[in-house]
Amino acid sequence: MLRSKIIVIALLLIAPVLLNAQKRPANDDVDSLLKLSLEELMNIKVTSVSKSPEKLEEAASAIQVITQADIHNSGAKTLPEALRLASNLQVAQVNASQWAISARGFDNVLANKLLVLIDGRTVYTPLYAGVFWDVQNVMLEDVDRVEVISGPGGTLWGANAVNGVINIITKSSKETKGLLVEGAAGSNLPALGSLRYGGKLGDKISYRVFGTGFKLGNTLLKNEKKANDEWTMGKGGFRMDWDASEKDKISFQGNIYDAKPNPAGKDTSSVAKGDNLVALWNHVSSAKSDFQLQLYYDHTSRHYDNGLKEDLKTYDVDWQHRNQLGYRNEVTYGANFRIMNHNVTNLPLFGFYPSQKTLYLYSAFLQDKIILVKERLGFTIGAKMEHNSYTGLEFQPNGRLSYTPTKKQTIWAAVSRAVRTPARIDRDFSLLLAPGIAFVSPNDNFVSEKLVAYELGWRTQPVKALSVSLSSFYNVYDNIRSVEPGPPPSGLPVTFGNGVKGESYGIELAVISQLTNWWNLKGGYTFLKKDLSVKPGSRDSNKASAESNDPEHQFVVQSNVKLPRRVELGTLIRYIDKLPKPYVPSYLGLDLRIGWKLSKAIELNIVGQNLLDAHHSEFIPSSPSPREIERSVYGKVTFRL
Amino acid sequence: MLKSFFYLLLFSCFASTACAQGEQEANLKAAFIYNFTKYIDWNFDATETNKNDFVIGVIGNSPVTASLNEIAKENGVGYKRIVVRVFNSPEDIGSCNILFIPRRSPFSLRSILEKVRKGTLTISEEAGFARQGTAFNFVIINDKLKFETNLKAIASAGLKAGSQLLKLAIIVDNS
Repeated sequence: MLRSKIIVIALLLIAPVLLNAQKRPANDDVDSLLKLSLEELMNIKVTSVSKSPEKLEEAASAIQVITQADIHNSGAKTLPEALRLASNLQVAQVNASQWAISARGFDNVLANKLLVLIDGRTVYTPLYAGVFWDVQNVMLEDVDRVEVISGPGGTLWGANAVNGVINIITKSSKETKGLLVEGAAGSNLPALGSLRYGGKLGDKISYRVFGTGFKLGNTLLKNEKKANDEWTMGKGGFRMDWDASEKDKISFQGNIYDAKPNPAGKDTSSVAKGDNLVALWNHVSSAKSDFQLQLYYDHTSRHYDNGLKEDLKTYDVDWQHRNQLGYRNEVTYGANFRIMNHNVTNLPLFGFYPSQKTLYLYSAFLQDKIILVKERLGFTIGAKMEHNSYTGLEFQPNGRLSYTPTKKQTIWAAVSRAVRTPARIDRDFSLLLAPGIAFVSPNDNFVSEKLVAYELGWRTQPVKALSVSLSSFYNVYDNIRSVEPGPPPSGLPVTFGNGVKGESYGIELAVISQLTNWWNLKGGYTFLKKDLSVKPGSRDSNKASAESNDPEHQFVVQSNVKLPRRVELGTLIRYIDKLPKPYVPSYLGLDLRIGWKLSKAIELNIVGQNLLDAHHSEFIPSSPSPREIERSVYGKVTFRL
Repeated sequence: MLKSFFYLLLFSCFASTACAQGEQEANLKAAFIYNFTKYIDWNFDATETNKNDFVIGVIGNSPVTASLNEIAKENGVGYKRIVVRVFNSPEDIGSCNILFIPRRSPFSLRSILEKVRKGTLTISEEAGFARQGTAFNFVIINDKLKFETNLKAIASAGLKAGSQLLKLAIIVDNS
């Protein structure tokens, strides 16, 4: 069965090569440009490379970047589907609206070791220190790139960036001018549509407004009946970018959304709503110094079908200043202040106490990037000091060394400490079996989970068209969450403790190659092994599984081929090894996209997803019931003016 | 020529500010530079050195160098073949027909212009440089590449620019 799937895939990869024997020069290469007159050259739009991300350690980290082109080529409909393109992430679809996403293991629907930001705004919930993926949809057409950093980002990004950081960056409104209308529907996609308009106000201000919505189809129960868990979501928003002066750039963004996730397939769904506003001011004082000030307000609310309500308002101020001191030192420092106002309407037996809590977070960081030997050896040292409402002060230092022996290679090494601070579920959660009979009781003594990570990596570009990155890591964890039984005879109430410790190690290989003008191939392989144990004094009922379920191997290959007559063929193959407990068998997934640009204004796409099996399972959550993801096809029309 | 993606540059850079310029932009500027050569009266007989070579010098590192090298493979200026030379510092600047000054250069414009010899057309890509004395300066306006020109700088180099070129330029010295 597996062999025949592999043969099908091999044929699909070779077919475009056979079909496209002639060479088609890309339009941006020098030879094509020389054929144009000066007037024609002056009419060409300059595609400037996206600026190197401010917080990124370019040379010394395990980063993969998902570009807009990758997203477009893959046929991904939603943000979690797009995240599959990073082979250093564990991404599993649980049901129509829920996903389990993590980096370097500890994957779970409530995965809590990954920090996710959208344009600088943190989308983590203090309820369980994770991400509600069912409300994080961005209009994929607006995404400029997604930076996926596996490894601790505690120094620059703060607590919760224990195993990785996902930074979703949308395009400036300068790049989304004009009208865009798209509509899609398919076998498991009742509807998807977006409308976006971008324009200019005078010379220096550009803006866009958009509305997008979808209804995603259901998944199947194990008995192959429909799970009735369709996911509906609508979102609208705007972005404005203002070149206030030669040295100042200001941008504003706002979003409002409404989603109806229904993972359990009940008659009434939950309702999750939110709105947010982000303002960013970037000032370049000189070639050697620039700073950035960001403010945001984020409001999310969830009403579960059982009556539980949760409302969160976040206010955040963030400042960062970069300074080039002399020729050797690039010093960056910053400060952040965040208020989270959390309000829960508890159920009689299930709740968070106190029901209303305000959490404060203050932090400051300092980092120095030092050139030890010009263009050969660099050393970055930094630390972040953070104060949170639960555990007080936390310290997250890191050191990175980067060695460039030849122009085409870099070897890097890093040591970092990162923490996952307590969330409301660790400290404030209470569950009763019946009035007066406690099942889960809060634990005031829950402390932060800790990680010390050792990383080693190698990056090389042996020929212009091939880029290889190999990263390895050895993580030492302590104080990972455990479930501690209560006193005998009932063992109730249980509490969450910090009773698990252990190590994990692995390697991440990523390759990017532009095989010919019309064929590019990206791929990656990740190997992960965890060795967790119960600490002395702990009686963890989960026996050190840390509620996580991770594959030992996974690989992802993405291919995009430009065929004649403006047709493109995109292929996405993923192999995910079995998950140990609860057991999910390994699977091979294949997505295909055929895109056709009828004209400059109209593009058609037909996308087949999960084509190899009629249905398959990716992850089994503790609730609701396990689901199977069906094979599906959809068609999309995009109209651009 | 194979197309490479911006993240290849990202991986292979090491704290280099040249990272921010895309390959398309570099190719575009090189194409402009090549086109400029067709509209300038070079007085080839006046310069004796490098009789068969048209030298384009680049001071420091820039992705435009690679694009210029591509052009040099199959194109020439008049009867001369194009040779691209990289100078590591102002002191190293030798005789060349064009000197390209990449942006964010570690050297000040003044130190570079002091070492530029007569007969060299200076081309830069940083805001304000034409006003400060380079003959041509690339600017990006509304996402399109345009160029400023300093007529005095062209004249002091002993060169003449054709009117077809000047009418497309943004003239910064109102002479």
